[in-house]
Formats: sequence, structure tokens, C-alpha cells
Amino acid sequence: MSTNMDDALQTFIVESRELLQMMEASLLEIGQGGDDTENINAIFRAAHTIKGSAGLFSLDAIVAFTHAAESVLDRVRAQQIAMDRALARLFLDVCDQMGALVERVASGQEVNSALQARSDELACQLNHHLDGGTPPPIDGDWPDGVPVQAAPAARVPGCVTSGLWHISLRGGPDLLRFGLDPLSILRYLGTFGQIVSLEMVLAAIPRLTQLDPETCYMGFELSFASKADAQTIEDAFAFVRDDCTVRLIPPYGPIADYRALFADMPEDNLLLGQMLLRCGSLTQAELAQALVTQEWLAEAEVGEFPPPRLGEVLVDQQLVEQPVIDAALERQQQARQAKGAEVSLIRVDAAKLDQLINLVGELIIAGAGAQLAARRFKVPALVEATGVLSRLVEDVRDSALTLRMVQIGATFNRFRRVVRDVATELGKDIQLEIRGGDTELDKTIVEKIGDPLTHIVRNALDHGIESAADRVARGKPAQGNLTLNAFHESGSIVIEVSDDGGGLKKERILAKATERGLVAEGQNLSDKEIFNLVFEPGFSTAEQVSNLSGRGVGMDVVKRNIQALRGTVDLESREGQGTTVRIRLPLTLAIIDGFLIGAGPSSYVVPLEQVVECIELPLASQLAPGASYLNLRGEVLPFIRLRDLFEIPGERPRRENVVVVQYAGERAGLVVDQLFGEFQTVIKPLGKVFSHIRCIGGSTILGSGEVALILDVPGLVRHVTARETGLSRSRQGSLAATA
Amino acid sequence: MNESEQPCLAISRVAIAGEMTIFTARDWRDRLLAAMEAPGDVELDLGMVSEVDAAGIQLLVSLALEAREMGRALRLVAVAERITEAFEFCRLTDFFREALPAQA
Repeated sequence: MSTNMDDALQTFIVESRELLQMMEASLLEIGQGGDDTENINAIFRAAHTIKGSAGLFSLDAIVAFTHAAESVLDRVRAQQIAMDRALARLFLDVCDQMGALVERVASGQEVNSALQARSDELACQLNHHLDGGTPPPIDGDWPDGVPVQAAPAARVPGCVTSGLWHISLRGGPDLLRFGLDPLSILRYLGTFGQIVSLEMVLAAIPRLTQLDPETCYMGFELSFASKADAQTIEDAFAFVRDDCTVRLIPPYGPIADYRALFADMPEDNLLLGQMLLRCGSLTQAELAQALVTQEWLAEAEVGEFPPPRLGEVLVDQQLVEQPVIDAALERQQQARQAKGAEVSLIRVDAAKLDQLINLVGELIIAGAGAQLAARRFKVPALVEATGVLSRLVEDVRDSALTLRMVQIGATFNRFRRVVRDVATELGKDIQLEIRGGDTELDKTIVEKIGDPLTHIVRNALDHGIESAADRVARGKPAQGNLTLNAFHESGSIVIEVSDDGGGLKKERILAKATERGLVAEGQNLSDKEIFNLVFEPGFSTAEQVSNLSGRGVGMDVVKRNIQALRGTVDLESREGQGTTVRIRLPLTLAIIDGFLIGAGPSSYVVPLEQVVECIELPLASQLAPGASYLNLRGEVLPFIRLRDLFEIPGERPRRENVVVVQYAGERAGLVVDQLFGEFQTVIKPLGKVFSHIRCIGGSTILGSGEVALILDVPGLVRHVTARETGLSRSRQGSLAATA
Repeated sequence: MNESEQPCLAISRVAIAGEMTIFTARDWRDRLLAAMEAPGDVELDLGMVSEVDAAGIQLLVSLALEAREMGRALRLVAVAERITEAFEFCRLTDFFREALPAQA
């Protein structure tokens, strides 16, 4: 039971985050030359929805703050205030503050005084934008007592004399079970009006012996004073509309509405009538009229005339106010839209997806076992059947994995804000260009790449791109450019952050590295190696430590974070022209196409995407003695024997094979005994105990039940090529011992 | 949540402490039903209730109806602030007038 409320709150938090993101995106688009009406509406809707939902959970801090924002937005919508860039800026802060309040809720903490102070400060700024600077009424605090509703110019016949809203609420049986508390909803009404009188409908509550304590039997009749429009009041019930019967009758509403109320509500007419009298919504005479006409209508329906449709009657008699009709139409429209959105998107718990992918993983292992058995028994029909099966399993795997794929665009778009804020702070003019936003990658990776990416972007903004004056002096356009780009490349996704700034200064990096003892005096390094030194721990060339970066922590953390995702990062730079940081990440973390190889009694898996080709190792007599490289069509290919690498005992077979693997443009050969071919590999991560082992990325289970180790190709390629170029400084030696 | 029952001289007494919400409504209903099994008046101590929602209020109403039906007196010997406030919000103070302590 207790999870229901938590679930509802969780939904609120998730939805609020999404709405705030939308709000931020819309705010950033304002003043960019498009039609801002739609953006302003989107911002208003986001604020409005968050306020409404927050009210349901009695999150008063959010309600009060959002209310202040909404009041200003309302004026903007009514074109009484212009949404200029200054106001958009203020709203960005408001948006952040709302986010902070929501996160506070998410962390399960109360709002502290610092946060509240910030809320108050922003609310005060918002209020300056309202006429006269008087704060709008909050928390039902009416400055002049209960508002006296202006009487309509002429009393419409057939309407009641009460100037209050009448709200009728009957809880559906499951209302409480869904974690919704009607009392909180009614208390929320108090934030934009005043409940003048309230009658709790107790008639349906059974005595204790017959009570199901989790079923809702309650109802409420209340009269409500508010200046809010029908939409606002309706929205207060948005969350419970499916589980409740809610009827709203506007001030001076038609008696026909009350008549319909009598018809719809399960209670005895007289009992309900008494309540409405006590609420003050109906006078004695009006009550009589409502009841009489109802009987009259009932008689008419028995007669031969088809009963007139209620809507027609109301419109004919001009009984329904236009806003009410509009509100109803809009609600229908919203319901239709919501339905449309539901069809195209389903919100699924990520844990369920993980479970599905785990199961598919097990299915692949089991399928491989079946195929192995089929081959052993050599029954052609069985072999064929398992072949078809494994192809289907492959398809299932692919579609299961795409379920986890999300576009990187949303992550990229977050940087619009970062770039704008940081650029303003630094007094630079920087344009952000985004490409390849529709490139898809695993959701887990998207979530984890945000922080490293932010760091790289901030670095580029702070140290990469020069100030406008410097740029002009160097003959570049005054506006700097930062590009975020993403694309797929041989089974990995590549994310590039490029700037057109000053680039890295080789000499300075080298000098610093020598000073720190990272590089020995006189060592010859390629440009690439020099640039990649910035990823070493404790390295920063910034002459001045600024607010944003340059404290010497960061790039090594970035590198570690990316490596934890089985990715790599490298850097390319041209002095005076700019820098590109390139991150390569695997597409997914769960299942890969592998290539199964054997050395001695052990089996190993290499990710298939990284295998370029397989060749036979030339006989020892054709190789230079003791050499660890061979001539591959005129290119030097360094190789390593898995037998040596993992210290596998026993004699080498007469013929050995070389698997040529490639990673990030570097090639290396792995010398193995046997090639087994393609193999669906479910990655089982290695435990913490093995985390320091290099060259092994994980393990998998073969159809036979044996364990095969998955080779970490980037690590291997680095190891082999580093050894070849004599630069393996710290890496050598540690391998054999751990493997 | 803790609870004590001391049937003595045809008075069954139940103390409700902690949450009186949808999460605990079923437990409290069972306690109250058990108390109603015993003969005599019912005394309910609501002094230690920390939280009450619509389900809690509904339960109290249902208990009052049951007591009325069986012709037994219900007395609320102590009432926490939360309960008083909820009664006032729901305009139930009159409904519980007989059961509420005199000065409340």
C-alpha cells in the first residue's frame, strides 16, 4: 500500500523534471526570432501543471513559489507584460529554483531556510513585474476578506443567486487506494480561493463491521469563493478525475446544473437538497424549482418526445456561460491529445527493461547450448531448427536493446543553457552548434556521460575559446563556436566537442609534464601523446585558476568516468585553430556480437566489431627471430601471443592464427590457437576483485557452460602498440601477473 | 504505531498512536473491531495521532456510526491537534460533538 503514494510522488518528480526541461528549452527559444506565443504557452502550462500536482502532495513551498511565477506568466499570456530577454533570464532562474525545490522533495528533505530565502527573493523580483508590485493573493489570504463576486449585470432567469462556485465531489472506491487524499485536494483549493462552507457526505459510509477501510465512501459538497477561472478550478481535480465524480457549477450557475447534480448523485434528493441549502448554494425556492423541474423532465422523457439533449437545452436557454463551455471543450481536447501521446509513448520502469534484457541474455546462452547439442547429435532437422531459433533470438536481442536506446539530442540540448550561462559569465560571445542529435545510444550511458561532457564543454568555453578582442586580433570572427557532434562508427558511438579557439600549446604541456615528472627529459613524444597528457591526474596548464575550471582536477576524472563506461577519450588540437575532444563509447553495455577464439584449453571473446580480419601466422622461419611484429601487406603489424600474455602452459600448435583487431585507428594482432567464429556474447561484468586486471573486459558463459573471458581490445591495442613504440612506461609487467 | 486494550468494567479502551492514514487504516479497523466485540462503552484515545488523512477520518465516522447503531457510547478521551484540525476542516465537529471531550 505505502508504495502507491511513493509511486505517485515519484511520477510527480519525474514529470516535473521533464516539464522543467521543456520550460527551460522554451525559455531559451524566446527572443530567437520565432513566434513566442507557443513558447510562452508552453512555459505557462509547465508551471501550471507543476503547481497543480505539487498541491496534491501538499508541497506548499513549491505551490507558493510557482504561484508567483504563474501570476506573471498569466500577465504575459494576456500580453500585459512583454516577455523580453531580461524577463526570460529571470524565468530561467525561476526554473532553476523550481528544479531545486523539486530535487529537495526527491531527496526526501524539507525545504531549508537558504532555499526558502532564494524562493522569496525570486518571488519578490517576479512581483515587481506585476502592476503596482503587490503580490498576488496566496494561500487563500484575501486582502479584503472574502471576495465579493461582482453580480452579473442582469440576473438571468433560471439561474441561482449564489455568487459562489459549487463543487460536488464523490470519491470513487479506489481513490484512497491510489494514494490520493481528497482532503489535500480540498486544501489545495484553499490556495486560490476560500472554502466558504463544506458538507461532508457521510451517507454512504457503512458501519464499522461492513467497512472496507481502504475503500472511499466519502463525498463533499462545498461552496467556494475564488477569482480563479473555471480551468484553474478544474485543474485542481486533474489528478483524481478518473477516480472521482466531480461537478463544478459556476457562480450564478443555472438551476439546470443543480438538477443534473441531483440526477447524478446517488444520495436521496432531500438529503442532498438539505446539504446544498446548508452550503448556501441554493435557496429554498431554488431547491424547490430544481426538484420540480427534474420531475417534470422525467415525465417528459416517458412521453413520446425524444428527450432534448442537455447541451441543446442549455445553449437554447442561454444557461451555460461561455467560459464553462470553452473549458469543457478544452478539456476534451486535452484528453484527446493525451490519448494520442499515450499511443506513441509508454513510460516503463527501467528495472523492467533491465530484467527483460537479462532474460534475453539467458535466452542467448541457452540457445547457444541447444545449438551445440544439436551439432553434436548431427540431426539435420534439429540443427536447422536451432539455426532458425538462434536467428530469431538475435532479432529479439536487437529489438530488446533498442528499447534502451535514447537519442543523445536531449543531453546535447541541455548544453544550450550551459553555454549561454558560462559565456555570459565569462563575457564571451559563443554560439553552440549541435549535430547528430538523433544518434542513439544506451540510456545508462546517456545518463553517465552528462557530467564528463559538461566538464569538457566548460573547459572548452573557459580555456579553449578566446575573448572576442583576442579573436578579432587573430583574424577570427568575434563570435566563438562550439560544436557538439555525435555519430556511429564501427559499433561505437563517437561524441565530439570541438571549439575554434586557441588550441593547446604543445610546448607548455610538455614543459609542465616534464616538471611534474610525467615525461622523462629528452623523451620523444608524438603530438597526440603530448595532447593526451592533459588526461593525466593533476595536470592543468591554465595560468589562472578561474571559477569554472583549471584547478587541476577534472580531465583525469573525465577520463576515468569514460573508461568506466568501456569508452575512451582522446584529444586533437591545432594551435590557433581549435581543439576537438573525441569520446568513443560502446553502443550498449549488455550484449555484443563476439568472435570466439581459443588459446590452449581456454576460450576468449573479442567484440566482433573490432575484428578486422584473420590471417594465418607465417611460420617462424619467415619471421625475424624473436620479433613481435609481422608484415601485413606492407604494413607493420605488432602482435602478441595470448599464450604469452596469459601465461598459458603447454606446447604451441604447429599452425597459429592471427586475429587483427582495430581500435581508434590503431591495429594489433592477437596470436591464437583456434578460431571458433561468431558468438552471441552476454557480458557478465567481472567482480570488484578483478577490477585491476588489464586487457580483460568481462566474462561470458558459453553454451557448454564454460566461462570465456572477453578481451578488452582498447586495452590490448594500447598495450601492444605502446610496447612497440617503447612507451609502455607503467603498463608492462603488471599484466602477466594478474591474468 | 502502538496500541493497548484494557477491558475493564464494561469499557473498552483503545489508544491510537502514530499515523491514522490509508497505510494503517486496515490495522486500526481491526483493533477497533476487536474493541467493539467487548461489551460496554468505547473510549478512544487519539492523543498520540501524528497524522490523519481522509481514510482515517472515514474510519472514525464509521466507528461512530457503528457505536450509534449498537446503542453504545463513544468517547474520544484525548484528541491530537491534527484530528481537531481535520474535524474542523471537514465540518465534523458537530458530528462528533457527543464524543468529544467537553472543553474541546
